[in-house]
Amino acid sequence: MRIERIEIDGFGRFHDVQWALDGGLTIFVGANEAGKTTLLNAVRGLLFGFDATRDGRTWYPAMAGGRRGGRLTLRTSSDDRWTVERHGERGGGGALAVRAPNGNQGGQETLDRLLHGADRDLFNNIFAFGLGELQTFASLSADGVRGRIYGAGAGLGGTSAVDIERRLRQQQEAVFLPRGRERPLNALLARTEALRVQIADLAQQPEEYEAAHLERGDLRAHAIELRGEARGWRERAIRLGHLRTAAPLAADLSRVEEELAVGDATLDALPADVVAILDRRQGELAEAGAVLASIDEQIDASTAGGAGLEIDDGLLSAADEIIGLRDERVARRAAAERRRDLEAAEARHGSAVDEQRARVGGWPEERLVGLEDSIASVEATREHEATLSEARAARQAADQRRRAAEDELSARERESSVAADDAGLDERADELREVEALGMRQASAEARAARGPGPGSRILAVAIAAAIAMAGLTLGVAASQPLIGVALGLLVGGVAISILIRPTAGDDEIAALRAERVQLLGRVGLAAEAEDAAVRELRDQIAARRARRDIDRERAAVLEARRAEIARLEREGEQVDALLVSSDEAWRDWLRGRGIPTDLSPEAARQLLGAAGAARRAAAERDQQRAMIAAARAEDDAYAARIDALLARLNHVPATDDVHRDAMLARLVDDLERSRDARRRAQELDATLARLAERRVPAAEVTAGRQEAVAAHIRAFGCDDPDQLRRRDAEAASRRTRHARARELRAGLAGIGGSIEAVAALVEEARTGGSAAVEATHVEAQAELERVEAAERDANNRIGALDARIRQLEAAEELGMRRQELAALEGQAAAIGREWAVRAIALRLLEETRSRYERERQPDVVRAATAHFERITGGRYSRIVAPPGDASVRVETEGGEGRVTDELSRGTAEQLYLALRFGLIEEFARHAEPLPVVMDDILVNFDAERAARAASAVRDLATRHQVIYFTCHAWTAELLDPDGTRTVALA
Amino acid sequence: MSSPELFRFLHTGDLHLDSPVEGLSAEAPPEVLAVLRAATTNAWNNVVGAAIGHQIDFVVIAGDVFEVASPTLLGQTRFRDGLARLADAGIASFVVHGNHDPLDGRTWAPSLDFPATVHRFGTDAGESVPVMRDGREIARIHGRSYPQSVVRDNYAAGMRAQPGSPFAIGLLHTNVGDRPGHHNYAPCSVEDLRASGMDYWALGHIHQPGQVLADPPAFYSGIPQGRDPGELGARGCYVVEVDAARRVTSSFVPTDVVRWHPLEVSIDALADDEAVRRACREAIGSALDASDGRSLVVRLRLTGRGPLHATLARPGYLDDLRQLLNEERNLALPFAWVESARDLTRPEADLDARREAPDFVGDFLRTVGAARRGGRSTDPEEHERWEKTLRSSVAPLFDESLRGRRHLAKSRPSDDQLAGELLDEAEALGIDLLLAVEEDR
Repeated sequence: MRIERIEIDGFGRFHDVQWALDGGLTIFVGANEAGKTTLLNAVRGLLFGFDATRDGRTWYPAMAGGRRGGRLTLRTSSDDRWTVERHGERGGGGALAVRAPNGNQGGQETLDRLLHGADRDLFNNIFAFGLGELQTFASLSADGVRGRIYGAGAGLGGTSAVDIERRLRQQQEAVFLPRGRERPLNALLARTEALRVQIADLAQQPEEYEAAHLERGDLRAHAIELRGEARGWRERAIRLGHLRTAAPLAADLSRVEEELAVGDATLDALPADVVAILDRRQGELAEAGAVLASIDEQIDASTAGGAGLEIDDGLLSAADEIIGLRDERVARRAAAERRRDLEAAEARHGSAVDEQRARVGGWPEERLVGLEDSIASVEATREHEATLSEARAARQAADQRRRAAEDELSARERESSVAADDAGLDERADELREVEALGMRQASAEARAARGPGPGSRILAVAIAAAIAMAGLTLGVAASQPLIGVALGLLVGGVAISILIRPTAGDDEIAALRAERVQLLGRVGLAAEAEDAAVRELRDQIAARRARRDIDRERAAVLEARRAEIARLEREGEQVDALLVSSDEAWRDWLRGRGIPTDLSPEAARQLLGAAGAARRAAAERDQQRAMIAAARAEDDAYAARIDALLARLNHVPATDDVHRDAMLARLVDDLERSRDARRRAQELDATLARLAERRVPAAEVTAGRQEAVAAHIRAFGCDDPDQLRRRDAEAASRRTRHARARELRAGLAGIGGSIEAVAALVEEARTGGSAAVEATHVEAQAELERVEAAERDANNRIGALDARIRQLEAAEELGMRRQELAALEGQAAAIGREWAVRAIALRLLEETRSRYERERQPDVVRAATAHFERITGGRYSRIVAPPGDASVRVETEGGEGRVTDELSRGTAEQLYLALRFGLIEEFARHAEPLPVVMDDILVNFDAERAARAASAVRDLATRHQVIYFTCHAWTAELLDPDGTRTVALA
Repeated sequence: MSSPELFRFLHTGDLHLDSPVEGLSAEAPPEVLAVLRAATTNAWNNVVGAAIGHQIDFVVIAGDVFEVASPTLLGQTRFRDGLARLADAGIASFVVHGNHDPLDGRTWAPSLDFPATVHRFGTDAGESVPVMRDGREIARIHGRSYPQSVVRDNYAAGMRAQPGSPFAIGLLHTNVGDRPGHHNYAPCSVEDLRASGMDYWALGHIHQPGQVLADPPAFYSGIPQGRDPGELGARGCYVVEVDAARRVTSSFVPTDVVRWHPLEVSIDALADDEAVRRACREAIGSALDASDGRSLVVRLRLTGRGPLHATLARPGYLDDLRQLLNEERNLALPFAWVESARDLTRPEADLDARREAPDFVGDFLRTVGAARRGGRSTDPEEHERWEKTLRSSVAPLFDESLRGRRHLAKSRPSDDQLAGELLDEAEALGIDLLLAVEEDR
């Protein structure tokens, strides 16, 4: 591969420049700062990206302008042309575009393949180097450099073995670092360690458990002891407490017992209720006395009440009559109301009768109400009315029909005209028809005479006749009537024959026809020479006259029929009149028979009959009401008479009128009620006095008995009066209170002591023991009790805590969980460790393989390098020794003297490294596309002779590789290119 | 010597109560963890339930009741509660201590109130106790407990059936025949068992249930609940029936509540990662169907060779797959929780052909081959060189790191693992990386 063109858009001092390069050797000559190193770095940068400077400044910024970067056109050994274009302002890859010969564009991977895995290090150290790189061996022996040089022949694309190793190593380190902490496996192992410590702690739990059991056992025993001790102290404290409580009770008891001893013991026998009984009996006595006094008071009151009562016996004897009259007065008032209603009705009905009489024209009442107005009479008026109505209607209808017939007759008579003379019209019409027929026959004969008939027409006639006959047969067959078909055919055929084969007219015939016509024309009144048009006109006139004649005839017939009809109608009208007269007569007879004026129509008669009925009914009502009114007035009068008689009997003034009478009666009623009340009250008082007299006797007895009972009760307890008894009872009550107190105190002591004996002992002890001593001992016992109880509580609390801890330990899952966690961690660590081990072994095997590969390949490189070194040194050194895997290199002189690189002069060392580079370049090219070689003034430290030999070696190398050489020395350019044909001046 | 009457007893042991669930390579969700943590306790409860359900006459427990010599009180309490349930049902219990719960440990807290029907054997070689029923001895149990965790003496050899016993049962925690992979505690041989004169040997220590000897019948009851990926399949106890002629019929009764289940899914015939998921899902479903109602902790191994190998090798793919499978199934009981998913698949490439190729991949395969051969080589120099190479590669974690040394001792790769499975996986990983690079080119 060679660089065909270098184009720089901007890089350091270069801007928009380009150089076309041939294969083989190109020498750029320029003074210092002409840009040789800049151009070397431009080539490096375009191929492998731009360096990043440590101070952050841009590496070769485009100082002269343009975008930093440019492009290289590369030509491969297979003559393909690639371009590599790269731009970028900062360090790194920048924007790379690799364009393939087919126009496809790629990136870094494409470039890597194009360069056969050569990377920046390899290129910078082996293929594009300056004096700086040349002066160190390290740049040659770097692992990557070797790996890639040899890898080029490893069938893996040069870079792969190293890349794989690096990848594996990275994977290894991502999992575990020998001194790491964060890597997954390191972290897992650290967690494992921590967990083991935790588990060791947790494993102590059984010991703690046993210790807890032991402690709990001890504590339980101690708690039992404490409980016993507490019980003793508690009993003692209680006993002392009892004593302390019992002492005042015992003192009280003694005092009460002494008080009882000095009193009257007989009072203890006095019942507690003695005064209560006394009180009750005295109460009962008071009650009985009160009852007796009350009775006496009632007797006095009743006697006084009876004295002022007034009773009217006369009035009382007439009581029933008075009450009867009072009750009847109500009935009388109602009767008066009814009477007034009757009087109004009577007046109303009287008016109604008068009204009916007025309607019929002032007939007397007797005549009007005497008319018979039965339903039969009314129906009879209706029958007569119907008969009369029918007769009149028939009469009217007959008149109408007759008048209609007469009107029609006169109308028709006006329409009919006098008939014209139409005689001979029919004959003339016939004659005219014949004239026309003769004219046609004449014309036909004349035409035939002019033409003459041929045999063809005869044959045609027969043929047509036959055809038509056949057609008729066919049609007849089709219509299932063959005979009809045949007959029809024969008939039509015959006619056709007769027409077609008629004989031709002669002149005679024509003359005869013409004469006959003239004759006829004369008969109808036309001239002999009259044309057909005149004949037709005459024929039309005759036809019109004949039509008019027929119409007149029809009208005459109708008039005759109408006259006959009128005659019949007149006869009918006479019959109807007779019927009407007889009906009217019958009606008048009927009226006469009932005494009703005969000029009344049936309708008027019916109204009269209706008025008669209404008058009769009203008169009847009126008469009835008059009778009832009279009866009522009689009753009122009788009632008044009865009241007046009563008043006279009771010596009252007579009543002046009905109103006064009513008032008098009311007064009588009031007086009667008062007399009755007085009498009832007197009767009640008598009864009360009788009852009181009866009750007074036992009440007096009870009072006496109770007085005795009170006296007996007082005497029974040896007292003379109630007050004495009450005083004794008060004393007895006081003794009872002391007895109760004594009992209460004894019960209290029994409650403290527990039994009667204990009470006695307690009383004795309380009496004898000093209260201060008891109190002190009690306080001391209480304090002891509290102390022991607190200790017991503490022990029990601790036992409870131990119980909980024991239960907790029994159920503790943590140890199991931690052990499980540990197992899981170990499992994971083992799995990861195993993967790590596989990678470690694979890495070691790859390293072994590559090392072996390099060892096997290295002799070729060293052999080639030796040849170059020997040539450059003019045979001074004959051998290079580079043991595989050893980072050092030795040389041997022609005489077999070995020297390490440190022992070589600077120039000789550079010549050795140059020779080794040449060997490596050739080794790389053995398996991959040869890369261009760029050198930057590397001959400056060589002496003239060795420089010339080295230049020769460079020229030799340039026959197989493209070599670009930068120098600022004209002599170097001359050494390399004596003809000056390959030298480019760099301005 | 009178013939014993018909009776039944239950033989269990290695309850390992309080065991954490080990070997989980991922963090279990809480509902799963709760089941796993309670598994040994619930299995013990199931043992008690089986004893009561089968109306057995007594229970023998062949050591290692607890996982550790200082078990949690909770674990002890639950064990005591189970014994109390047995006692309430009129069932006596006979217990020996094993290497996990030796007599010098802090098991059987004195303050816990163990039922009087429980007999714990001491360390006396000749100790035996009769089992009484209706006032008559129906069997005699000879047992001996571990005084401390390590017992190298042959206890069985010193145990002899008492003459005249109606039925002699030897109860011992022992490694019969020096079984590999187990501590060789109280070691004995089948000959020792035969010579003892016992009618039945109720053994503990080996967690896989099974018969050791036909005459006299000797059984390991196994562990009632598998606790780690090494204890797969159904676990339980034996109900032993002894007829009047001393004939023994033992039947295994599963008591576990959750099972470890390795599940292998081959990618040979699978086209895409959806097919992988489907195949895994189906395999899990079938496993659960066959689990007798137990929950499963599944260890998924993807095997085979095919194009999907590259997909599986993607970083995080297996974790995602595991998570997806777990999310698809809710964790209602019985659950099937995928605890881990490992990729044991191999690339489709013909590695034998690549091994011969004169390129870097060939070099790599040859280097691995050399390491594998060196690891197994009988040439001490060659062996040492490679062991050193491989060992030094893992030393930073397992040997040089203090915490790694302390806490990863159990998972420190053995020499066999280094030159075996780990080397295989490292080879697969290296090849994946190298071939992926090739594909990229």
